[in-house]
Amino acid sequence: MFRTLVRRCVQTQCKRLSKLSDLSHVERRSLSANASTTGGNSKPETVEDMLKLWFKRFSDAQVYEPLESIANILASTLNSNKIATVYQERDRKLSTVEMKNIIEMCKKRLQRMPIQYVIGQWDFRELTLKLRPPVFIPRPETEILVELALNDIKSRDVTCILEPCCGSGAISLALLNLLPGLKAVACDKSSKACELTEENASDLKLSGRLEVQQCAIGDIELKNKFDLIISNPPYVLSKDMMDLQAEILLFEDLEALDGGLDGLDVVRDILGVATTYLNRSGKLFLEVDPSHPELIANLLTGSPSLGLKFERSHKDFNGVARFVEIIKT
Amino acid sequence: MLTSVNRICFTFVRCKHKLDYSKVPKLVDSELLEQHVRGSGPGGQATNKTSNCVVLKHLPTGIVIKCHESRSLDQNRKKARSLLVTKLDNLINKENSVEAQAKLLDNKKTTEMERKRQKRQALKNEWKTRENLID
Repeated sequence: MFRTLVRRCVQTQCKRLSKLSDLSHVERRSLSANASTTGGNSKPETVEDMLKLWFKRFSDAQVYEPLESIANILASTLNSNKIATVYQERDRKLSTVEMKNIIEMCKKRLQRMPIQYVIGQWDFRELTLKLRPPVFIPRPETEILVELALNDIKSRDVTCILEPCCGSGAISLALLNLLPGLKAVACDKSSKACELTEENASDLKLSGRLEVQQCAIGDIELKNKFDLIISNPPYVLSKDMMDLQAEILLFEDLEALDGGLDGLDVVRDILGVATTYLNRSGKLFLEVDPSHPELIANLLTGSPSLGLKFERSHKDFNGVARFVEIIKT
Repeated sequence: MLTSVNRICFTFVRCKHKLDYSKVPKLVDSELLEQHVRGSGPGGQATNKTSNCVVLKHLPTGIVIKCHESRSLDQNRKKARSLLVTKLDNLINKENSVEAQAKLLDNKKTTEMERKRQKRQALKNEWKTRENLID
């Protein structure tokens, strides 16, 4: 009995082995055939071919961040948000459809479209957000602003927050995602920004706790008061607007960046909103230009009727004073 | 019903597999130096860059971790910290680090598989000699 069992086992194993060796033989043949066709200057077929080809083309056309550009395009084609995937799958052959999509995206990048718009999404903290022109692309500095607010919210009782100038909704959504008991109201004067915020909220299943209002910050009318107001308003000084990268000037909504002569046009409106809508000892967190913290501190000491006190400024990762923390007295 | 419950318990016990996390070192913020490779320029709204490289240095040991794996700055910072913890754990606890423990477990598994394979091979050879099938 035992002997027949062993025999059967060995027989099936032998069959399997022979099948395996056959397969590897076929594979080996196809691989060697591949090697002979891709060698030399023939048509690009693999991920690596495209990486090399478009790195060179982007470099020649003086596209900013040439390697990152093509690597991000390829990663998005491979349905990944990590560049490492591109290098892991560098030998993968691309289909005709994939090729067509990649070339389409590369053409957009050649026209200086920001990579975040080209691939239609970008990561902000733990989230992947949908992005499209001309809605402002969230910058990594703003991830630090979210962290400042997060630490504050954890240290006290905060139930409802307001975000003026929400753009793609990045700040509100990142906070709602981390704090399940929180509610938020986001507003922006651009209808495209409001639409995108709502889309991102529903994609992330956070729309139940987010109310989006389309209105200019000066005309805002709200039912209730808030424990915290957070915003990354337009703060670039008008004189600096012409020095922006081509990517920004050509594709982003410049109204999301231009803060007027001293860069404080919208900030002043937000200070007014904070006076009206912030609860007592509620806080206001803003991202601003490095020249602003001092100006804002002076402005607040000069106008005590606002009922706001400058708490402190915080530095970003380049050691630049980029954020201000203000408290309602 | 009962059998399925049993099975769940069984897999749970098997997955847990005695990795000892108690010696893993904790990071102290004052011993860390975090830098960001974003180059010069105004930063903030006035710049659109895609690279978010985080360089984390552990001052007492001089270990440097570089992470630009993700498109999100926050995720890169967290990943750099977890990589640093692993490196420190390996440096301080040597064969008792979590990574070494996992490796040991993995090695045990492979030697066990190898032992079984050799046993099968021996049986096969025995059968071949018995049936006069030697080629």
